[in-house]
Amino acid sequence: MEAVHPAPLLEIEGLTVVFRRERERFFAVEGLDLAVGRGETVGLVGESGCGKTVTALAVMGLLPRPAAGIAAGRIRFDGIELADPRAGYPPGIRGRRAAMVFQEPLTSLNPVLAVGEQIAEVLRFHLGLPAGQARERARALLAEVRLSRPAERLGDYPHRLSGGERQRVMIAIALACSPDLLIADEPTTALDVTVQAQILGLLGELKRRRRLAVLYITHDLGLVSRIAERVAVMYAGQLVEAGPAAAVLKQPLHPYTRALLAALPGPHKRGRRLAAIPGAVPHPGARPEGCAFHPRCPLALASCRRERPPLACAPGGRAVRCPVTAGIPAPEGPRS
Amino acid sequence: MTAFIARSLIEKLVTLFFVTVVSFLIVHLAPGEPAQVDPLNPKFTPEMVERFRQAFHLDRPLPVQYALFYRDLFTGRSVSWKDHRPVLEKIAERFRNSLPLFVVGTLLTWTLAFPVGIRAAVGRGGAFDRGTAFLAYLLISIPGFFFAYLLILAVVSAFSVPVLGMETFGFEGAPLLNRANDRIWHLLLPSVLGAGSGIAVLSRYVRSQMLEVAHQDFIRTARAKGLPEETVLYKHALRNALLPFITMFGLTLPGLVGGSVIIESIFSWPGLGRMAYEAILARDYPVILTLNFIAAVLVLLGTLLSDLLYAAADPRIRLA
Repeated sequence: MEAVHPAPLLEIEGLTVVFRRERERFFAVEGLDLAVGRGETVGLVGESGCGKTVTALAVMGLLPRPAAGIAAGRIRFDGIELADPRAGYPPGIRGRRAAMVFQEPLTSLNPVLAVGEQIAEVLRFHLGLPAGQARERARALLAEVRLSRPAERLGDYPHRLSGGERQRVMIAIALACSPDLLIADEPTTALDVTVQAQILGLLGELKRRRRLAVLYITHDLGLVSRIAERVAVMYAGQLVEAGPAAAVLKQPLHPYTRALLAALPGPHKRGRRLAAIPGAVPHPGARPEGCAFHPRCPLALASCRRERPPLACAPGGRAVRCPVTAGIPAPEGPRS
Repeated sequence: MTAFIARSLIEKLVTLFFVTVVSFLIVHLAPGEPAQVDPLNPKFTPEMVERFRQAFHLDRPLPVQYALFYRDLFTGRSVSWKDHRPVLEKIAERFRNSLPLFVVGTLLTWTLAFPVGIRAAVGRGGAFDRGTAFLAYLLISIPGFFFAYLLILAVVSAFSVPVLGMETFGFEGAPLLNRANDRIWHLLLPSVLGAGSGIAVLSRYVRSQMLEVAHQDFIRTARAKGLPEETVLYKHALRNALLPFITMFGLTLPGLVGGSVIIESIFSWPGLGRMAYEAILARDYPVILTLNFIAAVLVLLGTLLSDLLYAAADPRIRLA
């Protein structure tokens, strides 16, 4: 029996992550709501330092301690609470049911362990496979991520592999225990464009075949349109806009999303200067009062300087944190 | 691999040649010479000095002296100018005394420094980390000779056991068990003292290495895999943190010769370090130069050993 609105696989409610450094203390993520359904791909978009990676680390229970901690909010994974500070991070989730691929394939593998061992150890630990079977499964996984000559590669050390090959190995490790959720934190940023396309294609294929839910973190809005069904845009630790990918990219509501899209290069913008967003992302310790985006916003009202706008629902299952544009679609088509 | 060993052996032989030349020159450039150790002694007539100089080729040009010395060394004919005993025999005898001190000291250093450093790194900022940091800096900053006297006083008054020298005088006829016990008591203090500052320094290195590796991306990957903390620390972090110490291990070899002049002097331990020190005071060139030669060989062998161990431990290193 299938419910009409099944509970999402990952449900984040009001997540607030605080960082403490010396006497300073700031919120890297503030009151974030986000859900990822089973088999769904959600793109989490924003500039560097907006809290995307911190959100992912919070879900994985990998926030750097003791500097960072979850100050408020809930993270539920298939009904299991992950952010309960008293209970700690529950066992059997990380690496088993939720896996993560990182941005830096060149340094994310252990340089002194053979590739096969780095995959097989996960299988032995989580699934209790004997060494021989774990090795065979590791070989099959390398074949699944389309690494050439997988049997020979098992004994190779990471330094013999290219960046793209290492990222494939990382994906193989992440998928080893058939997780329900894959968090991909800018997995292609460090790779060159052709390899980027290959890895993206591989992720799309694996996602369809394994009915995998993916939280895809990126700063590249153009990339999101190719793989995500839904998009969430973050700015300065807050969610500013969320909705179906196609709708958000076609008619962005929040001034920040609009500015991001306008800044994308494209064939129809040939010969023109790229539009940049004036100003800079505020430091997490010195965010402006009111709406965090108001100093850079062309549409800011006087009230934006004082009051923090709430996340408001907009038609089409969308949400936007802007009192000016909520419910007012932007002009059609890519802005020029 | 074989090619690497062959080539590096040749390189090291060339280095060794230059070491022999330089050390020979330094010893001969230093003021004073064996015949003038005691010029005011009325029994030491100019004729005797001249005979002495002739007997030890000191009247020949330096290059000839150099050739003659190393010819004697390699044919085993080199004798000490002090007591006319063959140099190699003297060194072998002292080496047998120094070896237990070196082995026990090195074992203590390397077996204790790692657990201490790792534990301090794992519980960074905790009581153990602060406590060992305090102790380490204390051990590093207290002069060894001063600390040695405190220890001797403490041990002698607390346990009433004699600790100077290698064994208690007149104990040769005692039963084997008592003799062994006596030897161990005598060995304990100098080796602990020798190891003390070694543990202090090495454990701090181990700690900072562990902390450095703990921030690497692949440790985050290991955590993201959901592996237990012990696996993350002792399989993923430790292996990488240990790499630099392999190099250091090869370089402990020369400690066999120069190891512990101060400790051997304080404890009246008839070891190699003290012999070298005494030979320098007596300007006993053959002993000084032979010890220097052995030390140079050990350093060069130590670096070769380091290279080989490093290649075995780190898959990124390929010897070619």
